[in-house]
Amino acid sequence: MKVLFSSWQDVIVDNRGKPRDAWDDAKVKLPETYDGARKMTAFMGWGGVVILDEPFDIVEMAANYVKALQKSSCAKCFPCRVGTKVMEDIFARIVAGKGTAGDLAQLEGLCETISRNSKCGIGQLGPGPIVDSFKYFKKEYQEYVLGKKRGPGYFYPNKTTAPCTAACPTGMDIPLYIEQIKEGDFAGSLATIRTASPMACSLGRACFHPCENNCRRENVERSLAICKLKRFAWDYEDLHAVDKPGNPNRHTRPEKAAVIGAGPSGLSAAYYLLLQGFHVTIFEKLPTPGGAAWTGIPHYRIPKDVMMREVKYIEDLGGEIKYNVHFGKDETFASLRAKGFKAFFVATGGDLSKAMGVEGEDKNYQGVYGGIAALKEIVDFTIKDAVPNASAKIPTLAKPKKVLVVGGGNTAMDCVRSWIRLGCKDVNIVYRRTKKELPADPHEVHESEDEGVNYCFMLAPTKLVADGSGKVVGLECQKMEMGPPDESGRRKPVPVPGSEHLVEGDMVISAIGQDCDIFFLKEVPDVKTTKWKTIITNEETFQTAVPDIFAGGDVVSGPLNLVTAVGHARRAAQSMGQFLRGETVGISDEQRMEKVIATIGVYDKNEKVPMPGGWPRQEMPICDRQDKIGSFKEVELGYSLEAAVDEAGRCMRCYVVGMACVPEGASK
Amino acid sequence: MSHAAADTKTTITLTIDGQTVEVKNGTTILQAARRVGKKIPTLCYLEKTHPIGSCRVCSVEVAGVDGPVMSCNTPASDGMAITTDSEQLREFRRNMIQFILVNHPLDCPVCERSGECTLQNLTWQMGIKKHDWSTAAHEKKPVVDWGLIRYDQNLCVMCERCVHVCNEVQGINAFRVDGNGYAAKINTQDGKPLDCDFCGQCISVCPVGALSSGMYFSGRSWEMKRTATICPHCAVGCAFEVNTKKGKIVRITSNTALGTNKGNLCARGRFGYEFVHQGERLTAPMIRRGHGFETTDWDTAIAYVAEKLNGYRAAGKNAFAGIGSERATNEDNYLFQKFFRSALGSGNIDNMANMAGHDTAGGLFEAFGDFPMTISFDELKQGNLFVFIGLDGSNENPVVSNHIREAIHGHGAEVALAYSKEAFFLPSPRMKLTYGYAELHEFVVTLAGELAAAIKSGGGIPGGTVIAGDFEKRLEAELGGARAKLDGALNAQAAQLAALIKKKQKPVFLIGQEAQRHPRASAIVRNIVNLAKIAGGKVMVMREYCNSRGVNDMGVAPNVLPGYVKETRQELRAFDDLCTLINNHETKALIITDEDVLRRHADFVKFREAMDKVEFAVVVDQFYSLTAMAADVVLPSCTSFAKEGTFTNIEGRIQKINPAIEPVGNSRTVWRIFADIAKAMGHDFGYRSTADVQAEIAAKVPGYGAIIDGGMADYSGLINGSPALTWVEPASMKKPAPGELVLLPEHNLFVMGIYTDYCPSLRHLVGKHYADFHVEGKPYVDINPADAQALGLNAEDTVLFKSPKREWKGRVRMSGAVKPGSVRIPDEMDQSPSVIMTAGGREIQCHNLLGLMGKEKC
Repeated sequence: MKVLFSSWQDVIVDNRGKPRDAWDDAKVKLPETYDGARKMTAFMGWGGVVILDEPFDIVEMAANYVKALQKSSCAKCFPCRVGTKVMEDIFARIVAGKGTAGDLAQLEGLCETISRNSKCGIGQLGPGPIVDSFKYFKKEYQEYVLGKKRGPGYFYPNKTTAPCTAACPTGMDIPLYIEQIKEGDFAGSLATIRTASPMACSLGRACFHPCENNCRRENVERSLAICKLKRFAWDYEDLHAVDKPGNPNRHTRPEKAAVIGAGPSGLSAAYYLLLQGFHVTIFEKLPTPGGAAWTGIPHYRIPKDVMMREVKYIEDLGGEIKYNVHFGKDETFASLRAKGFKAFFVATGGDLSKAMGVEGEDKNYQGVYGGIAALKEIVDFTIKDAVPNASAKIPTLAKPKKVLVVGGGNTAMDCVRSWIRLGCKDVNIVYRRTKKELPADPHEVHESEDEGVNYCFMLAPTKLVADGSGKVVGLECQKMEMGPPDESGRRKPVPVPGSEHLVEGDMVISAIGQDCDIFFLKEVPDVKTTKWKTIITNEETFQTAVPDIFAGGDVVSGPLNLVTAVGHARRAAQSMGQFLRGETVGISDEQRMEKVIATIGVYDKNEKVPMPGGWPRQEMPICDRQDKIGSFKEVELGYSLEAAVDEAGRCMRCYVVGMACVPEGASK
Repeated sequence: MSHAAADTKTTITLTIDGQTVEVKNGTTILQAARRVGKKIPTLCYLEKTHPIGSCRVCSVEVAGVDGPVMSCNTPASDGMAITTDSEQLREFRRNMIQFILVNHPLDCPVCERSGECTLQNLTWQMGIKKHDWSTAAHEKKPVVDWGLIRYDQNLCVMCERCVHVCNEVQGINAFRVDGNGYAAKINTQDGKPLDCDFCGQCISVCPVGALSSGMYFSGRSWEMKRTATICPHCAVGCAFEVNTKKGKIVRITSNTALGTNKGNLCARGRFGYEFVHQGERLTAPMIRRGHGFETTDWDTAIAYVAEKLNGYRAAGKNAFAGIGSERATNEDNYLFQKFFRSALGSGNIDNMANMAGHDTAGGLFEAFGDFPMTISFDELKQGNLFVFIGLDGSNENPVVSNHIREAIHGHGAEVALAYSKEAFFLPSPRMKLTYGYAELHEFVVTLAGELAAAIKSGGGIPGGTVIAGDFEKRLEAELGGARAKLDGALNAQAAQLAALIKKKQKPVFLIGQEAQRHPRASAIVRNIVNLAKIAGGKVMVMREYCNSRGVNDMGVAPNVLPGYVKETRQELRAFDDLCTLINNHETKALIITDEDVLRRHADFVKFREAMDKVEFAVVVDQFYSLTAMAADVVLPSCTSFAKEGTFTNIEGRIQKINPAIEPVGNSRTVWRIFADIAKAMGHDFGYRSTADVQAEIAAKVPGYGAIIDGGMADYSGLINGSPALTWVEPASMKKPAPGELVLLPEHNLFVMGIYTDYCPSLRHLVGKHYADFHVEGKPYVDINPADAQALGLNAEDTVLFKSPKREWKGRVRMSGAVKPGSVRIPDEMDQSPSVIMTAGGREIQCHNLLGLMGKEKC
């Protein structure tokens, strides 16, 4: 990207004085506008200073940046708490035209002391761009010190975040909840988690944890067990005699909101709407809550009785869940509007198993299942005693001799590991690429191999084969080989001609993905959809083209993951609240900054972190092997208190502040 | 089975300033450095909490790491090379202190901490003479509405020690960092005036003068003499330092190096010393002449008492009765019983630990010689599961809860609370069980039954006694009836608790006052012991006073001689016997030592009558108490702050007390008073010092050799170690009839009898902490909303309580935490066995089961 100046991550690109067409490229990536309309001319943050274009005022920006550091300072270490205040005062002097050369020298010394000694990223990384500004913008400072210049008063929106937080679709304040665990304030920790997600139980067990892939501790030795610590905070409340926080705003507003779908997104939206005081009713097609987290994630990963308590909390806060209501058939937008519902959150997820596109798929052979349907049956079967609300009609599960699961994602993992638990001895994955490309969580793959799952790589199904009575007997597959590199240099698997052969199996599960069922939108043609049958919403507010209809989760993103669905819900609930209160639906400057920061990226896997390693990550204890095979007992047993506190101690609180310069000023 | 840790080595080797050190894996750099005597300066670091890491003063250099590393919160790892001192480090450390000195008021000449201030010391050590940094100062008013705690934000360095100690050690979590950046301060969680247990741990850990005692304070650290001694209040026996100036106590400070309490104290320990110098203290002997007392000298008083007592000797041993003291030392009590048994020839003695409640509390060894009812705090801290039965852990012996929190934070121990109302404990207990007080016995039986069932279905507990024989039969026979008395929820919880006990194994049962003073205490305590035996666990009996244990060890009981040697010529059996003897005019002389029996005893009326009837009553006391007022001779005793001796705590640890002051006025040590009376009666015991008494105890009392050098009393000779389970028939109990209520006087941490009356600060807390307790002189009485509705009572309604002792008014407060069928009152209001509550024109009979004697006839 062409910028006027960049010191980002210590790579200096200085195009000042050069004609625009001779500008060098900087590796840094930033949006050119702040909010799609107003120009952003500079960015200051943990990696340095980036000047995109004129106009900008580096001294005024630095002064504002230090002010933001002081404002973000948690006050929990001396150098940052006091030092950034001293800096703020000096900068105020300089910007007011009363600075001296001595002030600049003092600032440089302060930057060194603060960054070397502070507890967290605010103090450690915050002075970095200030030092860069001294180094590369001496002239500008001198102008101020000589009294030649005053600040132009630009707008400097900013946001405090962290690599993990920025990577989390819910924007959870991860360093804070980890610190609260470290300090033994477990209730406080869960309260922090709940400001971003009410689903600590499910997320703490089954999140794909992008936070951990963006954890700076990885640069020291290994990332923090952020996900499992979340589970610890929830389990602690669940296992102990703790008074859960109530809802002080319970039903304090007259408006009624309808949530369609009691999955992670719907439940989360309901939670945040309830906390705003609205009446919320959730309409759920199934007799059970949890959506994909219930049907798609087996009991051994999220015990359903435990999840029931997570859901009950949302009911306790004032939410109502109406089960067995198939939206689009039993109720419609029109019928609910007639009942007084003023806003809708569509979170129906994606529960149709994708077709493999092979011959014989349309023949309804006995023994052929979609991945989600198969898992749902297993869940119903395994929890029939544990949960009273579970499906009244308990299926009789087929006991196959040999299971073939097509696909390599987490749903495929859940399927094979479930049938291992049902006692099947011959359980197979059929995947058209190699182990390296498996999209599933590597931990899941490892566990499944440990439990005895067989993997058939470089094999693509072409045809379902059945016997005369219509019972499936196997899958005709083609061997694959790596083809020549394509334009991007990547080699794609291509079928080996004539390699078709029968892979026997009396149960075939297609777990290659899901589609969304959005038939109910016929009633509201103005709501736009994509060709993949997902709903198009405003990316920031999750409002559809029909003002009272909002949507989020898999039905917007396409089948993805729990935490993204929860992230949508948190934002959508904010928008719905604005809508219901008659306010303008929109996002805050801080939320806009989230997007800016997401473009530049917070985590740098090449950064050298000045911290000694050797503090091993606490491993999660798991159940005995005999409990893994032939039973659906939860595999991961949860951290003990001392393990959790020790693990939390590894967090380096990598808070950082990002700031943009918007010369056109704040939005009115 | 768990995954192996990444680094399974148990010890690691590193070098510190070139010196090779081997430490346990998990040791921090700071701990490793201290092990080899390296002095790294610290400010926020506290040994008893997790590392805080706010001050950044303890930085070190680690080879290969660019920049300073905080030694307090960085674990040492194998092969690390540490440098603890360099010019760069000194510069950084100086800078950290200089940050604090920005605007830190130079109030040292008038600051309480001056001379013992960490900031002052570090500034001096680092040679900081000036600094260039500044920011505008905004003077903040000190916070003065935090009870006994005063917070001056101007002096605060934001080290967060108070926040951490309050949460991790004290379990109150009263404080938080409020705000961001330079404007941040320490505040209460809700921003309202501090409403805590006022243990003062925050003051003790404050490195500067930001948190200080709100009490009147005159003196600076270098003017004070510090004397290490043992707290005179509860039976935990915390060690502390008495700070005196010009012979007067000016404050109590904790010292982490002393005793078993590691610097932990509760409000009573830290603030409960003001009574010592109160003007109301008895300073001279007094003899009743006509309707009043005449002050006299010791010689006259001793001679008078000796002459009177000699006069009754001819009437036989039942002419005398005596009550020893839970607050007096072992030496005092030993002499008291020796005086009775040898000079008066009477064994009619007992103490309030045995008398105030029932027939078990004091005589636990007598009753349960088969089981070690002592467990050291070190052993306690190893526990995995703590089951509180009838114990309100934050009001009774609170420092024991600190030990338990250490086990919780240290190795994830769990707590289960069983109490007659929802009790408070942090970190959150694993379970809270609320039983109806009258059904405590049934609850314990059900718990035993559930544990038996869990063992039957899932195998026994290693090291536990197998349930069999008569006990098994009795348990089976009683279980159905017991279960039926509990509601469904409590039955289910009992099953859960039994499962938890089975899973965790080796539980520690802590038995509180409510269980010890229950009319069926014998059966209840016995069954808890059975539970402990079944689960291979331990029992700790919580005691009220500093020498509740020692008074029985010393044989101030009718049925045992010192060291629990059985007294075969047993005379007195219990309180009712004593009253009977007096009422039959058999007993002529009653001698009471350091016990305000009239105040403490539930049956005030009966005892008052007895005191009136007895011909000659001698009361040894520190104050002109209710009991002293009824005496014929009052002899002034000194407080434990002014004498030598030993107390035996609930562990069975014999701890030395040391005189910090001279006795107030002419008050004297109790043992000396009785030795003098004996001498005047012709029995010269020949002691010249406390050491002489101790030598005799060491020689004559089984298990008390440690009295010479301090240490644990050895009860092993008393315990036969039998694992057998014993069934004790529960005493019959008067239960409230339909429409009647159980009356439960509630204990208050700040109330410790007459001492509180003369400790203005604590008295202030009783009013302050329970501000809603005493509005318009009408304390709140807590009633379950269902009962209140049935009685037609609304919140704030006035109800009248009437007992033979007094009449008073209370205000109704609805509390879901209170079990239906009971009403809870502050225990200083009334502890009479039977109280009539008048509400809305109706009279409701209330039975105080807690204060009732074990036998209905009393």
